[in-house]
Amino acid sequence: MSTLKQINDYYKINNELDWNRIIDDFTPYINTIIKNMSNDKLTYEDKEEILLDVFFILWKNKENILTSLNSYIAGITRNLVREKCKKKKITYDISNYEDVLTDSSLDMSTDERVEILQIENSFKNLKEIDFKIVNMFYYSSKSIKDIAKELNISKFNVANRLSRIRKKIKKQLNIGGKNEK
Amino acid sequence: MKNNENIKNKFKFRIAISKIKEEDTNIMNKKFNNMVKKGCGIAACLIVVSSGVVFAKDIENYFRSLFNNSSKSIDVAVENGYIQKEEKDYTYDKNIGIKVDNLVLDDLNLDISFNFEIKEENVKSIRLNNFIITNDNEKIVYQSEFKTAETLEELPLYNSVNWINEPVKLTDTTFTDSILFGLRPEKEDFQELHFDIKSVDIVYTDDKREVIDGTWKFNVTINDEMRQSENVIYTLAESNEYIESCTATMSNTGTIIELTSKVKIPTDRFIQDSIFLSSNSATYEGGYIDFNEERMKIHFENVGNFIENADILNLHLGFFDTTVVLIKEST
Repeated sequence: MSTLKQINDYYKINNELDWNRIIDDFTPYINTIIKNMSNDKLTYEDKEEILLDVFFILWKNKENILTSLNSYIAGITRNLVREKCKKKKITYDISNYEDVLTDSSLDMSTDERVEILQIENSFKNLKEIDFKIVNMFYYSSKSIKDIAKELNISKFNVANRLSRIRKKIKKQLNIGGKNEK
Repeated sequence: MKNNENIKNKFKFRIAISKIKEEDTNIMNKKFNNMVKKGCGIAACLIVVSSGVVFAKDIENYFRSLFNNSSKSIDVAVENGYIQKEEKDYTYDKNIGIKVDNLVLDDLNLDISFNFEIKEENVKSIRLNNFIITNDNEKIVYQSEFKTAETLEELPLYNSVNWINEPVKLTDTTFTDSILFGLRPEKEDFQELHFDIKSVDIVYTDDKREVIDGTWKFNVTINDEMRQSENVIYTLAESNEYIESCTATMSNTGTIIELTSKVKIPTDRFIQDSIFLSSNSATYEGGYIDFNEERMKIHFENVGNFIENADILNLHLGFFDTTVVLIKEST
C-alpha cells in the first residue's frame, strides 16, 4: 500500500508529492518552530540549513510517512533544531508541536546531510545556468534535448556542463574509479 | 516568495547531489553483482538498479552519439571535454550540404564527424565517397582512392581506418557520419585540415543507391588543445629475458606499445589474444598488432590518458609467457 495515501491530495501532483506547494505552505510553519524552540538565537544561515534539511529528510522518507504531514514535518524540525542547538550550545524549548514522532522512526540521514552540505558549500560560485541545468536534469528529469531547447543553448553545451559538474561532485564524494574493465 | 524560490532551488540541488551519489553506488553494485554472477556461479540476487543509473547513461549516450565510429578511449576523452566543436555553415553543391561537426585529434588518432543536409526526404543514408583530406603542409592525411606511394614522403598520414558503422539519421533531411583514422607515429604537427570531396554515396528509402558527383571544399583550423595534447611515456622498468626494449605511448585517445625482441617472435601463430595490458585496477585487451620476428607494435584503443594514470603498467605477452613491467617517465 502506498504510504502517500496518508497525505492529503492537496499536496500531491501526478501521485508524487508537490514540493513547490509543500515548501510554500510549510516554510512559515517550520520557521515558527525553529524560532520558538531556539528562542530565536540561531543565525539566518542556521535556520536556512534546518529548513533545507527538513525538506530533504522528508524527501528521503517520503515512502515511510505514516502520519499527517504536519506531524511528520514538526517531528523532523524538532529533531534538527535540537541537533543544531546542542552543537551551538544554545538552550532550546522541548515543548511538543502537534503529534511529534519519536526519533527512532525517522531516517535523519545525518552523514549524507553533512556530505551534501560540504558539496553545496564548494558550489557557492556555481553559475546560475549550471545550477538550472543540474536541477532540470536530476530533479525534474528533463532530457538533454529538452533542457537545451528551454534554455536556448546547444545540446553539447548542456551535456558538457552536466558532465563537468557531475565529475566535480563525484570527486568530492570520492566515488568511482578512473579505470574501467 | 522570492526567499521560497531560493529555498526551492537549493532543495532541488540537494536532491540532484543525492541522485548523483545514488547513480554511482548503483552502477558499482551492478558491476559487482555481475562479477559475482560470473565468478562464483552462484545465483546472484539482482540488485534493483534505480533510475539513478539512467541519468549517467543519458549523458554518456549523448557523447557517444557524436561519433558513430569511435573507440572507448575517444568516448571517454570526449566526455571529459576533449573535443573540438565546429560551428561553421554547410558547404553546398548539388543541393547537398556537408560540413565538419566535431573532431578529436592527437598524435595517435583523428576522429572526424561530418554532417550532411539534403533537401530530399526519401534518403535513407548518405556518406562520403570520393574524397581527400590534406593538411596545411600539403601532406595527404587520407585519400579514398588508393594510390601507391613511391617514397616515404608520399605515404598518407593515416595507417588505419574505422568506418564500420552506418551513418545516423538526425532528422528527415540531416545525417551524421564519422570516420576514425589511426595516425602514423611519424606524423608532424599541422594547423589545418583541408577537405576536398568529389562525390557522395546516397542510399534511398527504396534501397536504391546513387553516387552524386560534385565539389565540396572547406578547411578546418585545428585548435591549440588538440595540437598541443601531451602524451605519457612508459619505458622498461627492469630487464626481461625476451624483450630488448619496450616503450608505451599513451595519448588522450589511445595507447601504442612498441617493442623489440631478443628472441624470434612467432609469426606462424595467432598471438593477438594472448596480449594484455594491466594496471593495479584494470586490464585491457590488445587491439590490432603489426609485427615481424623482431619487432612488434600493439595498439590499445581502449586505454588512454582519461582512462588510466597508473605509474606502473604490466604488458602480458602470452606467446612468450612473460610480463614486461613498464614505468611512467617523470615529466
